[in-house]
Amino acid sequence: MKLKFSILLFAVFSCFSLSAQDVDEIVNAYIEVIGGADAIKKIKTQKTDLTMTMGPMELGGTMVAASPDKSRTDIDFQGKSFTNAYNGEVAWMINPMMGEDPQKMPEAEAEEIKNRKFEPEFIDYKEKGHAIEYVGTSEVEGAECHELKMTKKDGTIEHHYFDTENNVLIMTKTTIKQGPGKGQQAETYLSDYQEVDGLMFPFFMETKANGQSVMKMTFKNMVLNPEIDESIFDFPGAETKADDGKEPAASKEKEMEKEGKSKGKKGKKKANK
Amino acid sequence: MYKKIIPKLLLLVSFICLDELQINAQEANEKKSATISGKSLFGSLRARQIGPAVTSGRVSTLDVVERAPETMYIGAGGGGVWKSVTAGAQMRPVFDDYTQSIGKIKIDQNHPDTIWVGTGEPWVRNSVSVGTGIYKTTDGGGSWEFKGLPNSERIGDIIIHPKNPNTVYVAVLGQMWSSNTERGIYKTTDGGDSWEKIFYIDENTGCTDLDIDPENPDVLYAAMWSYRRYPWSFDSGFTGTSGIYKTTNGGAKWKKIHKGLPKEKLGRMAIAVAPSNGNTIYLSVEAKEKDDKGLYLSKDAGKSWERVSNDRNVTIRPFYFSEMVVNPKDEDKIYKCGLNLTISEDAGDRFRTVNSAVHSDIHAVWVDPNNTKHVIIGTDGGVYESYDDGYTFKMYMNLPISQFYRISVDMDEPYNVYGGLQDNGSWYAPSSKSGGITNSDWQATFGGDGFYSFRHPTDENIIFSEYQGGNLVRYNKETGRAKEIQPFPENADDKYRFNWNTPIHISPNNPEKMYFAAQYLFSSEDKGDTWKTISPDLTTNDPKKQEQHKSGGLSIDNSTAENHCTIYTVAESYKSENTIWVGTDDGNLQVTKDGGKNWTNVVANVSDLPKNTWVTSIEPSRFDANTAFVTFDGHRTGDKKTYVYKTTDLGKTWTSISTENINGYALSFRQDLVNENLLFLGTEFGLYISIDGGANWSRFENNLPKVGVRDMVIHPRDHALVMGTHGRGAIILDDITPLRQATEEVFAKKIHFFDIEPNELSDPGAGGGWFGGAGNFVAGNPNSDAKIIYYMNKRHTFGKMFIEVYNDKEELIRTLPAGKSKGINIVNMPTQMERPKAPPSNNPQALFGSIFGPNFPAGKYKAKIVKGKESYETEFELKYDPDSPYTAEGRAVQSEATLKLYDMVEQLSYIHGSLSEVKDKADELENDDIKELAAISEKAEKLADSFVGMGGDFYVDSEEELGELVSTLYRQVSSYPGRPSNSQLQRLESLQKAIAKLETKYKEVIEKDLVAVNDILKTKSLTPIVLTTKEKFLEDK
Repeated sequence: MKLKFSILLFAVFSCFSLSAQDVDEIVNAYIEVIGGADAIKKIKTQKTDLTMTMGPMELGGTMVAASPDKSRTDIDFQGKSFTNAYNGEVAWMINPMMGEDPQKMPEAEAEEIKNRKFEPEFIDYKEKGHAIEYVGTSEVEGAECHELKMTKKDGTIEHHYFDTENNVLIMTKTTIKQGPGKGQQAETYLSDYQEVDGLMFPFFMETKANGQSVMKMTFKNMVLNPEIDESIFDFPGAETKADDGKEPAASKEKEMEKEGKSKGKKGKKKANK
Repeated sequence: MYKKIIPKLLLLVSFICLDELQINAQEANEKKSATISGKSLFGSLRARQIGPAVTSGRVSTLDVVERAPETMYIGAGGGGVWKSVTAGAQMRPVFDDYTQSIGKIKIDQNHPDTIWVGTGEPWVRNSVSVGTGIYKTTDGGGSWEFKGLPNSERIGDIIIHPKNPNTVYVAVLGQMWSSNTERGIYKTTDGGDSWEKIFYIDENTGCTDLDIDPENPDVLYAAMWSYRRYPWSFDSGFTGTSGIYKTTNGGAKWKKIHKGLPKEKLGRMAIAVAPSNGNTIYLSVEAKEKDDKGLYLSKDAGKSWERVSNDRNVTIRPFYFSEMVVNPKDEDKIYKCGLNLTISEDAGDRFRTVNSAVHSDIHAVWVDPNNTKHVIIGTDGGVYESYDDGYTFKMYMNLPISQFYRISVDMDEPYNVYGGLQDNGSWYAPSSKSGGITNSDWQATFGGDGFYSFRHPTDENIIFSEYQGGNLVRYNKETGRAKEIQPFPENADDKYRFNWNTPIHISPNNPEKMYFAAQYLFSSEDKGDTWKTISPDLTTNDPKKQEQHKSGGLSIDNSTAENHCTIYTVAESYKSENTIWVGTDDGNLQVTKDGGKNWTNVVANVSDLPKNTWVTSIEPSRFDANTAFVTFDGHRTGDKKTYVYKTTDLGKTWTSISTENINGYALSFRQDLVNENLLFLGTEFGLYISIDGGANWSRFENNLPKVGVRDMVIHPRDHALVMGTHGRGAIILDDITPLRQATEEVFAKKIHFFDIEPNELSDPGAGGGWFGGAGNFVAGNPNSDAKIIYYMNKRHTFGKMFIEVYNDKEELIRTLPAGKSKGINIVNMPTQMERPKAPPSNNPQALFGSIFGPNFPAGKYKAKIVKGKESYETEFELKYDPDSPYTAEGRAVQSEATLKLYDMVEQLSYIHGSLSEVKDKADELENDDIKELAAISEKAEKLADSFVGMGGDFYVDSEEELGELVSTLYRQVSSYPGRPSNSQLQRLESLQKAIAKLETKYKEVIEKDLVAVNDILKTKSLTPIVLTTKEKFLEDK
């Protein structure tokens, strides 16, 4: 009466969990292809121009990032700027369509920018507290891929797909954690890898939700280790608490003015040049 | 290293598990076939699901997170699993890659991201689909793992151990159409990695329902059911082994607990333990005798039973309605699913039935343990929710899980889609609509169960629809009335046998001719008022298979669903009006060459086909009178193979064109209208496409779930493949023209451009939805953009790849991202220039006014794909809609005015930009000695500020200066494709004059003041102020 049977998926999984070095082999090969851990670790800041395409709409802008997790994106529109930024403590934004004052991002919107790490998560992933499992091969945009499942230190699960031919990352699948889209999968496709100072970067990224394109980003003029005044990442509004309740870095309204990002004069708001 | 290891290990594993895991291995192999995978081949072609959700469809099970009831999972009879995290405001499917027939959903309430889904619906009506085992997610439906029981076919219940989530009990009904041993009760103690069959009676008896004691999780109760369906009848009770069992040791031993129950043969039963008192148990019992069947109650944990009700709603149609729950707080209050939901508050003494605005046929009910007035039910027509204790319910209007039997289209623009739905009538809707296809766009043409529905080819007011039992109606759109027009036998004693899904067929050669069929074939040339019988009985006419009046077993169920020895499919040749094919449900395949005078049964010529296998579809070739394709479906006798055959000699010989990688029994078939090698096959598990005449098949996956594709039609004008699915409504592949051009030669090229028809520029119109809030399904429209379509033989990963667009003067007008996939890439071409660079404004009207660029004029354009060092060129053409009301003269005036305004916007932008530059550069010099610097700075700033509105609140306190006026007029004129109004043209002139005045002041600053300042700077050996040129300024939008 006893019928016990194993499951194919389980069997495949257990076979691969026996050879965990395969995971490292894939991860290490990828790190080598994009320039090697030592070279990547020397990069502390990055700046790039970008074009964002959403349906027929096309907008240009700039993205600046600094180690370990700071970033700022400014998208230009008719002399105004859509801004998203994170200084490691506070995620904030400016949406000129809703008025030009900087706003702290609601948690659901802040999730992505706060989790963006400057250094690829694969480098020293074990030390960072992440775990990676080999899932199997699958097809991404017609390319055969190794699928790796990364369980991050905070429990977040991401699936990464490495082209079996070249060993580069061509897709990442994440799960939206908050808001009405909670539980929905977002896929980011990477291509147009190009060399900058001996390192390889994807110069094209496309985000899809439910198989439908949401946004495309094309990069150009990427500069590594530019000098950056890191105050540009800080929330310009004064005396606000960090998202985690900590006191933020001092407000840098003055530096912002120098950057020409927000000026007030004679009751009239002044546009950027 | 791993590259070499992986295939070997896979081989080894699949070899070891081969016997037990055939279905699963088949699924895995699907992606590894020798053919190009569907993902590679079809690339970015994407199907579009249009509903309807207004009817919704059969919901078989649902579960809700008790601590957070805004999160729920809905399981459909044929439409997969849907999740809402917003209390139903938004719904999304989370199970599209798997079997869509859902038996049971169970949330682990202690770990609500862990959900078990047992596939295979347990409400075993004639049209029910099949399951393929049990699945589990641990991330709220983001990803699923197959957990076994591949041959269970139907799963009726799942119980998760309240303290140990790795221990799970599963009630397996087992296969409905045949005997099998994978049925009974299964238990896992390792989260589904392995299973033990802990209770089994025999190969005909399965478990339908389980419940667990609220205090002692080792105590469980099980309802066992012996049942069988045949193509022509149903037998509830079957071998007489149904019964109620109890275990007190976690399933190691089971004891029959029948004290007080009827001694006669029993049928389907449902059992429900009161969560507030484990000794109180309700049991609904199916038995033949009226005095035996009904609701039983045990007050002693199953030791004895007493009948408390034989209310009609409690006893009706047990095979279809058996779900029952006890109120979480009140052991006397029970909710029994039935034809309606019926509620008793006094332990079964009296019942009340829920209101009539709810669709009948209730299969699932959930009562909120934290607010027991909150009740959610699943019905044949979707999900309803009550907050007043089940008195009134609101419907979820966003669950497009409708079950089509048949689908058709008309030639309107846009074309309409027609079809009939299981238990939800016959409907039609436009295939596109400004703002999207909404619930209110669907129009009903008749009720009951719907099947075939067609618009008359020439009379736009006439729609033929039908309801169960071969009841054909002619609906008139003008009057809203339907006339019943089915044929009757000449002799009142004779009987026509109509299939549940009786075929209506419109002649492809003569629009006035239609066919209808019982065991005979009928034709009519007067819209169904007169019928001519044009065949003898074309079925096997086996009397043993014609006892539907006795069908049902213990409870007679004579709904016409079991009518057998009937004609199921009719098809007239596209090449010859007198060649007609007929397929029957009892396996006859008949053909006539002389309009019905002589018929030949050719089914014996089909090799490797079991006798009496149901003919599901016949597709005569569009290219040759002697060629036809036929699909057969044997699942009603337990044979789930895919049977697809082709003849080229009118049925004398047949060749199988089915391949190993096709999954699911065959339901429908179409040959393309243009390319005879392009074939479409609908199976129980989705759509398969062959581009080489059936030698290889690939499953189409992009937004097309593994749903039963019951019928398909190719729109002759719009090149769309329209599918009627049994669980996800109508699904459309909007443009199949790239597939018509896909060949092996194409696949060998690095990049191949497909020919595309000129794109009609869509003139933007007003319209669309109003503020309906969330909760209503809206289907998207086909993409009407101009596009280029290319096949790429390898994914692009390294180096640049983008597309440049040139006009007919070889001027580069846009640059845009390219599609990078291997396979078919569809890239929308821009139809607008880049937007003008506008002066800054804090006025929303003005700012939004300059978001879009002017439309491209009609004409030919060139698209160049730049891929690394190589480039590939193709052309695309834009043309005006010939039916649009805008004259060429009007368009020319509009275009001229738009471009003038475009330049005016940019001129203002430049003036503002350069005045700001003057100010900034003057300030940067920080030289207080030269007072002219401060003066010019102030003057430039004042002038720049003078024509842009930068104050206000970006809403109701916005300024309107010259910049805003120009941008607003630009929006008005550029967004209307016809001639601008005279007022607008006059306005343009007056704004030009205003700009001229501004330019005078601007020139004074630049040509007088700035020159003077620069002279001073030069004399002091300082660098003069140099301004960005207009060309450079405008380069960067």
